[in-house]
Amino acid sequence: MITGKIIIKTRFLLCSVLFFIATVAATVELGEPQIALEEVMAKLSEISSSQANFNETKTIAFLNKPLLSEGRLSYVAPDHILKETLKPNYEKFEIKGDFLQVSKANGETHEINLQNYPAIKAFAEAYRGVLGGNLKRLEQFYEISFSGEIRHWIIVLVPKDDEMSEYIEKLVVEGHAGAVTKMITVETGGDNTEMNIIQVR
Amino acid sequence: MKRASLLLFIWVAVLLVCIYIIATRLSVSSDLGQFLPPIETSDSTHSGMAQSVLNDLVQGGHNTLIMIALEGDNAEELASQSRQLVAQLEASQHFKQVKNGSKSVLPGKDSLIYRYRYLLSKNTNPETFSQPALKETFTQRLDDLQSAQGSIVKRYLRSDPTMETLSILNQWRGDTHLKKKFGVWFDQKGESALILAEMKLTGYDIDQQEFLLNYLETTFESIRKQTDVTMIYSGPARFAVSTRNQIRTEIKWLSTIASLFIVLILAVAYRRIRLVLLSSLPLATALVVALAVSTTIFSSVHGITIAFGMTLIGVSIDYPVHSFSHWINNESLSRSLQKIWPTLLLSVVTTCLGYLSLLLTDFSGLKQLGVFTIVGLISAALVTRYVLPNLAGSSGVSLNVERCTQRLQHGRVISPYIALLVLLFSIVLIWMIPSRWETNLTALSPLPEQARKVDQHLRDKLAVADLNHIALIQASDIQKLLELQESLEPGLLSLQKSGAIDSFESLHKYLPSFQQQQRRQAFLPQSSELSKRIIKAQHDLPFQSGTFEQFILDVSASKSLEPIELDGLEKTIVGLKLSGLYLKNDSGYVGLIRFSNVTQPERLIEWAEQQKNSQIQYVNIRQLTETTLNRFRSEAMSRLMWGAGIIALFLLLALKPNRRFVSVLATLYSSILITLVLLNSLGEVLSLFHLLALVLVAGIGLDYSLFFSRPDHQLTSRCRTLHGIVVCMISTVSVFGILSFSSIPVLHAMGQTVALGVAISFVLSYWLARQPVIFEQEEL
Repeated sequence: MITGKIIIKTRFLLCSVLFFIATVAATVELGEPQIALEEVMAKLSEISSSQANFNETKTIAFLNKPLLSEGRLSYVAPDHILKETLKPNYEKFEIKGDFLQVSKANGETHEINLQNYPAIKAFAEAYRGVLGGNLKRLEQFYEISFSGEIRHWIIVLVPKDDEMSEYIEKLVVEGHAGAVTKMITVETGGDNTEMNIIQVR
Repeated sequence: MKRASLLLFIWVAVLLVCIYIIATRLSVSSDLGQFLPPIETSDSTHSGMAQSVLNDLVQGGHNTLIMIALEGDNAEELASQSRQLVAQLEASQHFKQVKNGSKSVLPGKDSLIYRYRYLLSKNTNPETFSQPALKETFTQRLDDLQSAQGSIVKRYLRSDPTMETLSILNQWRGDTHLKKKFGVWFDQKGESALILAEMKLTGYDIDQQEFLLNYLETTFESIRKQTDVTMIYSGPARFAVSTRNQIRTEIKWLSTIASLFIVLILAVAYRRIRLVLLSSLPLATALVVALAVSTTIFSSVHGITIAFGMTLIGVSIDYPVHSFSHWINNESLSRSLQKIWPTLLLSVVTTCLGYLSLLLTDFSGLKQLGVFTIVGLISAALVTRYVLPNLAGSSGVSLNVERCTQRLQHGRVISPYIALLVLLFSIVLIWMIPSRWETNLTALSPLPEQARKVDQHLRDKLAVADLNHIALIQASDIQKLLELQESLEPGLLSLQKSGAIDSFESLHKYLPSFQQQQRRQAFLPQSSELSKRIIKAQHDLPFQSGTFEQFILDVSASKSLEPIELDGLEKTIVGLKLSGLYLKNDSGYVGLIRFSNVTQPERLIEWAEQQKNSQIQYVNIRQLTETTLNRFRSEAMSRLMWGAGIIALFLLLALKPNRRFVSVLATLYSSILITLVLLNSLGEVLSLFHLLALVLVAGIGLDYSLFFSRPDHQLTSRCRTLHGIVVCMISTVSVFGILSFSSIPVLHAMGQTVALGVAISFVLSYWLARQPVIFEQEEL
């Protein structure tokens, strides 16, 4: 717990600074996974906004090749997420609170109340919970297991809600310190989506 | 003595027969529609249709619906109690369906929508299943897989690549204002968990409804336990039950107080218990006989008839009072009665003639009221004349009339010209202060304001629509109705497009006709053909071969499905919506097309007129109820005018055109007009109930003025008349004064009007109707 106190709590720490401190922190042996998880969450929660690029690979059993896409991600604490797919088709996917807005290149826009779509809600809660470092929120929706260390950690989320688990078997989130680097969605039935995340700032 | 016992025997026998009839045959209806006039439309074939809709509306549409909201705690607790409540209500078997949105929104593959998707969907046409269209669909789905809704799309993709199930669902759902929290319906603010329940009812049975509502409340209490959650609910059943119970309890204590008052007044007036008890006999007999006769004539007696009839024959408490006040010592009551009998009879007969005009209306409710009142008044008069004297004993009522005789001796008698002047003056007044009439149908309902507010509140939250603009379509059976509606669709869509209406709801949007479903089946390709097209369509797309195997099987199965019918669809999520879109009537089915946000009603009228060949009528419900109520008012008014005319004519025949006739009539009319003027200046919005109350005032006013104007040459006898009328007046004003404190709008209106009217009648009759002492000798 000493390491936690070493960290200077400032809202405006840049990612690189965080990374530096994280590396220092990571040199200290971490004990209980729960403590390590809390550490990671604490770091994540310090980030008030972030931007990243992503590339996504979707593997579906009935397709003979995976679907690839890429785009931009941005997050503003506590619950605003914007995912813009640039290739192959433009799509803007924006979550604010309980509302999801999906806009296509042709300007077609749908607004969806997440309460009605458990599968999408599962994603949203995972994104928000992890990016916001909100352990309580995550625990509300998922069984959480943690492995690794602060330098490279893996959080596995298994939905608690029956309606969610109809669609999603588990979510695997990988990262180092306060940055998420990979998110794998394993759907019920085995199809999966792997999203690699490259932080911009 | 022999005659006396015979009369008593007849009286008891009649009472017993009547009680037997009431006990075995009385059925009370509470259909307010009976009190409304038939709807008048340009085309007579349409009026039956509109009538049934209006009746339905007055009774609150679906009688079985209960809207429930749970409030007062955090959303999670509310949601959990909502789930428990729904589970328990469903398990009870008392409810047809109970919904809180917790069932998965996406239809499963075992659902009816899924199974009938190609028969239900508008998109089923040859184009959809062509090879190029399929290719476009597949390509689109590939994009969808990468998008936000990917997982939902994937779920249906292999068996339903065109996403028919979802598009049907979207069409059906429309704009729902409900949102979900913790998996159940909440209002927009997220403060109340909402539930819709539909009761299983066998006919219109208030006791059964009360039982189910109690069941709901106890179930909720057992779930609620120690939490802060509160439940509010509303619906026609709630209204029916609470109205009945409230009227019951209020009538109970109001009538207790009123009876105590009457007993007290009579006790002070006559100081003899026997007379106090006897004075209730004519009224009691009148009630029993009137109820029995109405039961015999009409198949069912309206609750309102009984309530108002009882009030209207309340005037008969005056008959024994007049008799006792004129009962001189050393004379039998029968002998004393004989002297005033002509006046009493004149009063009764004239009042009854006034009510005769009610019998000629086409409103069955008013007709019943007429019969009830006439029968009641006649029986009360007969009991007063032939039964009371045999029970009253032998000693008369001694009154101290000394002061009264002095005053009467010096009192001036008003010329009938003054009475005419007063009448003229009141006509001017009523012309200057016109009445405001209630045009809102719901205001006629005996419900307290609060209950209506709760109902509106829940309706808003649950987005249960209020009907206002509708088009009615008559058809002999449901298939014909659906075909008609389908033929109207293009016109409706262009109305929507042009902005005349925002949207419309119609049965055919949910349930296609057999014809339509069969047409769609014919559009579906054979499986060999379809699989060929699919193979070509997916040629350079990354789908594995055989991906759409299930799609081919499902399309082929859809070709041989029996078309879906109304009762099948009623079991689905739209069941509740469907029940608001059609009605059954004598000539088959009436379809209701409901328009929302009508900006140009004239376009709708135009549209309805263009559909000449079909049985279509556009109805603006608010306008319709307004005109209906206005018609009702003018009808009732004209009946009462007729009544007033008949009274005048009869009095003319009975009294000859003398000064008594002029003053009695002038007094009667001006009392009513001045009462009306006072009500208007008090700001009362007048309704049917005020009108009926005025009829009662007329009856009482006639009684007073006839008695005051008796050409009696004995001053003491005149004082006895005055005594009788004062006792009548005090008791009537206090009883109705008590009634005016009721929280039930109807009772309040009646009480206020009658108390006011009777007081005015008394003053005016005393002032205007008294006649000079010796001039006339006739005994009327």
